[in-house]
Amino acid sequence: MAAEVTKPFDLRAVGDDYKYGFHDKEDYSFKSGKGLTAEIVNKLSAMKNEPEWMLKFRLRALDIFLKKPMPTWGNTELLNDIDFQNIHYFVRATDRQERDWNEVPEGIKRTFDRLGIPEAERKFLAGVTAQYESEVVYHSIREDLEKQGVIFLDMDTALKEHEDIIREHFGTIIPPADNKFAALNSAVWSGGSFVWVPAGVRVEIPLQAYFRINTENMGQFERTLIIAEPGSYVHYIEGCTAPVYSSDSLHSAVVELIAKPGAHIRYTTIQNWSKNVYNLVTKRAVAHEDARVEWVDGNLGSKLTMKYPSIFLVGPRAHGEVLSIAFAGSSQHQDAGAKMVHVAPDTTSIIVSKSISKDGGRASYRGLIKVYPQATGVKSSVRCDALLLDEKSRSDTYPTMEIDESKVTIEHEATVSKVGEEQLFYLMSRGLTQAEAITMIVNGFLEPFTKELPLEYAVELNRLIALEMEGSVG
Amino acid sequence: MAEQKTVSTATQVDDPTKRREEPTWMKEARLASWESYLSTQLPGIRDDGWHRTDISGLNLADLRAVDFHSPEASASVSPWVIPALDSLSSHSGVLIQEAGTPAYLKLDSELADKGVVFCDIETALKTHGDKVRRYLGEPADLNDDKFTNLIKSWFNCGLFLFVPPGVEIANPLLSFTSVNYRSSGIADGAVLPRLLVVASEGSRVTLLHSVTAPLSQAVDTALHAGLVDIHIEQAAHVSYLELTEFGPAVYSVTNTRAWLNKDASFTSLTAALGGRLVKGEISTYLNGQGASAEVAGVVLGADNEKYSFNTIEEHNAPDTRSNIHFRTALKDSSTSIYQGIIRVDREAQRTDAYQSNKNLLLGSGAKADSIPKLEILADDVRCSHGATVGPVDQEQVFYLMSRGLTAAEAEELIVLGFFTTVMAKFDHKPAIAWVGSAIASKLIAHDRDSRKQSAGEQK
Repeated sequence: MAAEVTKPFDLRAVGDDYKYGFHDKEDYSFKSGKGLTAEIVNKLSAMKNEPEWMLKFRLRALDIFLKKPMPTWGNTELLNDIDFQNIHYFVRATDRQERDWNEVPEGIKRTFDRLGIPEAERKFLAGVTAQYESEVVYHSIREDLEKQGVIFLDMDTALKEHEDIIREHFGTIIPPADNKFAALNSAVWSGGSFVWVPAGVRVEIPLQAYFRINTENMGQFERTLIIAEPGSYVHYIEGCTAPVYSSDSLHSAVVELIAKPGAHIRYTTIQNWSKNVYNLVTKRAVAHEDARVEWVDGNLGSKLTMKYPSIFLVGPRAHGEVLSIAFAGSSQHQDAGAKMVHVAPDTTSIIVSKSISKDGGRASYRGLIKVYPQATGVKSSVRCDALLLDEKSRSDTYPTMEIDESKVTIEHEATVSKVGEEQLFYLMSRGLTQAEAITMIVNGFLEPFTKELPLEYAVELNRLIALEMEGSVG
Repeated sequence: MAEQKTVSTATQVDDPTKRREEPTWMKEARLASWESYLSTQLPGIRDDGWHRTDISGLNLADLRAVDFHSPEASASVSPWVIPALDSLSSHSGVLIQEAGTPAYLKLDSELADKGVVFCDIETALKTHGDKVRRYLGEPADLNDDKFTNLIKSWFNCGLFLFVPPGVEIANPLLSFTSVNYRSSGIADGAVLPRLLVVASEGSRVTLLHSVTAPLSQAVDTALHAGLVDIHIEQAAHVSYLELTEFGPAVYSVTNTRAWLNKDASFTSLTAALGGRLVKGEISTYLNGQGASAEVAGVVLGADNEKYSFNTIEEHNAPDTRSNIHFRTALKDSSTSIYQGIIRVDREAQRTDAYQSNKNLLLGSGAKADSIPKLEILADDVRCSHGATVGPVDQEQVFYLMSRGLTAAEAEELIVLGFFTTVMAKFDHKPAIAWVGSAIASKLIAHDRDSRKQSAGEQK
């Protein structure tokens, strides 16, 4: 979809083939100093005119963040490189949020033009939110959805307009004490989406959000909460990009999903941060009776991603799925996975993970299947496949199964291999170059993922993969 | 060695070398490991390899290393070993070690003439010091955990097996170790075997090792902690079987390590059939090109028994192959944790590794964890793993019952079949039958007990 928009750019000229690596001149209405203190949290909350309880929530979370040690698992070497004192925790790009694209400040508009957002809107996607730095700069939702009673707002506005419902659910799925980065997000969150779908309403066209970091050493901490009332359906899609700077940025989001009885939520992420972004995200869903939650999670960018979308299956017959791909190129570590926690009987889950490591990249699958006692009739299946494209790269699989109930069926399978010689030979005998053949095999390997995406995203993903694959032979 | 020695952190003056007639280098090595022991902590449930394995109930300070004795010519075969010797009648040597009584030792004279050494560890230190020093005299390893340090400093039984280059031993060597706490009057004792196997270039040997500590109500806690080191030189082959059956008071911690040189091969079968908490770690280091390992494990849990096994496959050389098959069947409220890791080094191109863990949950309170891990740094590899957890297939039960079996018999048969598939990977048929009958008797005895119990409840 962004084909025309990216034309003026020589992709190779933008460091490391990363086409979203440009950055805009900073012209901000507010930019916090570096470092994190209670003062910054107070100021941020005051600027946003927040209710007292939210400020208290933030300050309590800050306290937890400061006290909690860094994780001792995962890529601790990279994690310990994060300098929390060298990050801008809040940057306000514009003083107003626009509903008409033409009124968005020119510089920001140009950025999103390059990313193809108005493009997307012209195609009548249901709703679009664009977050630039800490806050949402552009927002739109289709009128018919508004008439159906669907709420799709940025989180800051939602807090003003729907305080009661937010107060009831905010931080209930991922409490600040869950982990150090959830605590950080809870302290300094800004932006993100709030979605509420009334009972029985099906949102047929995906809601979309774009996240963009522009400032060097920026921290982006968006906060998303989606509540699907009984029997409703919604598909939410997010995309993320950032410019290439020599020093690192931090993206630490918290995403909470609540699927009430019989509701169905699908959450799709195409994460394509530049290779200097730490992407440390906590995503968790609760699925009630007969509900269904799906995380479709694509990880292409970032320096280090640690992300394990999880689903707590708390009502009988709830179903959870995670479909995850990770592409780890040079100097990247994709530590991604999934967690399924079966609390109620007859709940089912499926995890499919595909990873590709290349040019010294490292892809890790880390997952958990947990079945609590009395959760009888649980069925869970996990499938992890990894493809290694050269001898410099690395692939890890770290699954954990904790099964505390006997009447269950749990299956896990994983494979690691290289591109099959026979497949290559066959394709090349049909006239493809080696590079084309490998790209085709990789696309085929990822097909279970791509086929779950809306068409324009699938096309975009294939293009991104082709870009990543360039120069992988010879 | 007349007195019992205290293995106690409370009394740091304890000296593991006291009253031992051993070479100075051995005493020094024991002391060095004792120092390390005193400064290391008991593993916690978050430590590597100890996931949800809680050993904090074991108070090492209360334990004493029990006394074992060297072989005497007059020693005779104890009655409890006779059934095993019957089912393994073709063998090349036997070593029986029991707490408090002289060891029994026999080795085919033909093998002794060829230079094969098979004896208890104490004798080995006295008469083959030159051969064992390289392995036992090594300085304390900083990576050793508390139990390894404990064994290295206080080992009180065990064996040494040396096979000279090119010698192929067709029939297995047998080792039986037993502590009968009740009859020996030893309470709260520690059995700390150290096994050392060296298979020289082009040699071939099978070692069957069994440790039992019969049930005893008289004992609060007892510990079996073993260290098994197996060195397999170029093109040599070792088959190693370990069968452990412990009573409900016994904690067991075993660390088995095999180092494989070029074209070496290793086949192992671990069978764990009882104990309060049975922890085992089986590491295979495929250090030479073309080395291959076949590692199998069967665990049958009942009552409140807890099992925790780790397998570690390190592929450090090209063209290496490993196959892991670990199967667990859990009755009542027994629990199992299996962790397995395949590590493939950058050098280890053309590695072929497979790991499978299957868990049958038979009892309503049974729990099983499975953590099969892969760390792959080479690209031209074939690595995969699979894990399953679930109950007995009711269709199979139904089929067998339609053929006239009771539900209990059907389950027994299915469990035996479940294990047999994996045991068949071991390359010594009589040994498989021997372990199979031990599994069957635990299954049957247990079913009989629970039937009696439920009959009693009905009255």
